[in-house]
Amino acid sequence: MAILDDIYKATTEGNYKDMEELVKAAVDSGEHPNDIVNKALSPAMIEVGDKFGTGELYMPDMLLSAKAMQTAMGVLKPLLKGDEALVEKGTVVIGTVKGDLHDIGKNLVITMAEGQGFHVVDLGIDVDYQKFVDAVKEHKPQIVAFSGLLTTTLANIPEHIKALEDAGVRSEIKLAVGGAPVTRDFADRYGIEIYADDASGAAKEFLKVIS
Amino acid sequence: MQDRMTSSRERVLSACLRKGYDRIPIKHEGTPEINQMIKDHFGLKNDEQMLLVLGDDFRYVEPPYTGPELKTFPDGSMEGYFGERYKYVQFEGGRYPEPVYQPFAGIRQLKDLDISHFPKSEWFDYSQVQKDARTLRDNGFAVCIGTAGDMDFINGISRARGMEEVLMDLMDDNPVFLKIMEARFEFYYGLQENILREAGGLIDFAHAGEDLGNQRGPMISLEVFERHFAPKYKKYFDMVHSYGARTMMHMCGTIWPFLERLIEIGLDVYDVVQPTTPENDIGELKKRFGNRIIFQGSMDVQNELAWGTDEDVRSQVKRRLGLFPEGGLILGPSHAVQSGSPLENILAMYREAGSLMEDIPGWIYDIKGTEDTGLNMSKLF
Repeated sequence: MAILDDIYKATTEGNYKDMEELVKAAVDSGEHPNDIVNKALSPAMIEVGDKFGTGELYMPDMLLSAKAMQTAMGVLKPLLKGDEALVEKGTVVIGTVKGDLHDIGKNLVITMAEGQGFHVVDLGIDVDYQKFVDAVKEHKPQIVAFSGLLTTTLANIPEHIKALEDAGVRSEIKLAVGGAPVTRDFADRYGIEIYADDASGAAKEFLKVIS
Repeated sequence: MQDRMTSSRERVLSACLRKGYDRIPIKHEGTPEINQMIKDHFGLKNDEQMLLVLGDDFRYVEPPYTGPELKTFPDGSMEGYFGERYKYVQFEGGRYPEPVYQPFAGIRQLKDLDISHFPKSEWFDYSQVQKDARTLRDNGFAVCIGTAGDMDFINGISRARGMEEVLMDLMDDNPVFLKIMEARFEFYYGLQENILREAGGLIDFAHAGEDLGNQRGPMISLEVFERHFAPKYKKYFDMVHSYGARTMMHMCGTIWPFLERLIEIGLDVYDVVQPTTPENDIGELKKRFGNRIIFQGSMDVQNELAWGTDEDVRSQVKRRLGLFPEGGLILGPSHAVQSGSPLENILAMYREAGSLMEDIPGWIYDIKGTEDTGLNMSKLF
């Protein structure tokens, strides 16, 4: 299990440079990819997320840890085929709302959610209303997550919700929203079921919703 | 409260020394859409008329750019000083420039870094600086130079390289990032020193920026700040002080953990004072830092100015007048007032501050403004 401890430590320290070698060594030593994720990568990202939430770690630390995890997943995903695939807890469609080009927070949510076993469909930035609708119809997610950084583009979120309602898919999904100017009051005002202060909190809320 | 002061400059400097003021000094900032709304309301023709009506106590000396052409491309994107490009992104009620081409993105080794577009501080016409500064001083204003986008290493370099990459560069001490940072420092240091030297002691404040905080807390650790930022800012602050000016830093977000060190290395004015967390509230900051720094801004553009009533705004102004009866705060919005904010809230702020010109005399409408030369890289954000 020492190798899993090393992978855990590399994740919490954001040591993406050594991660590929560590993960390959773990696989070569017989560790199952699912165990590498569930016993090392995911709990490490939870620790990083919790420390970010308490202010013990900062955005650069989160980004380095996310990069370390993405490096690990880059090694592991091709190794998982067919029924050995990572057990997915659900599907999340995520995008930065129409008119907004910012994505750091969104990308952190993606990393944290994937670390918790979600399949995440990233629609990118400045996502049009119809693109979210099409993604829901194609991927049939449990959760649709809106990310927004600008106070001014929050005004587009009700339009996004209306587009989903008009397409008849709103009742099939839970909505999530996050970003610098977003508050729980805002989420409640528009009937958005999931709100979190940060990426780690978002992943935890996703787990609550699908459990 | 003092008797009516003879000039804006007298008011500002008296408040900075905490010797009292006739009315609290103010400094306005608004998006172009907000400023146009204000101008339309009063029938004003330019920004100078608007600043006079609002009672803004500050004016800026800005030497014209004379360097290589900053191009506009067929897709509508506009070039910045380091070769990055911006396009205006439209949203309901306004637009904001966003980076759409980042020339330094993904460059990990120095040998791959193209420095041919690094700007030079010689690329400005300084010949009118002293005349312009003298005119503003004679007209009674507190004279400033620079913008929130000067220095501004995290945001400024991110626009040309990507925010995620820059934040990780700070941890990795990436040599490409450090080279760009040094070039940016030399450019803005040189630009501001040239202006200060030419102005011959007529500049009161030198403005720069660094968004060290975000909505939840500091963007970086104190250790990273000390390693990469403090030495440069100390050198810059020392230079500004050597010309008799005060230093002013625009810092968005929750930045209070950095203030002790910033005061130590020579920061005089903390611009923005965004109340994103309780610790960054103006009252808490006053308790913690007392008379060791001057605050500027603090009226929340994300809450009362945007979503509150005019009574909410007046109440917040009154609170600040009570906290700073002898000076120490230059009142204004915590950032550019954002599009969609109600006009009555903006006017309520300046009316309660005592700076708003209620009866506008005819001569105001004859005041000429500076020519709008389009996107000004130095004032970009």
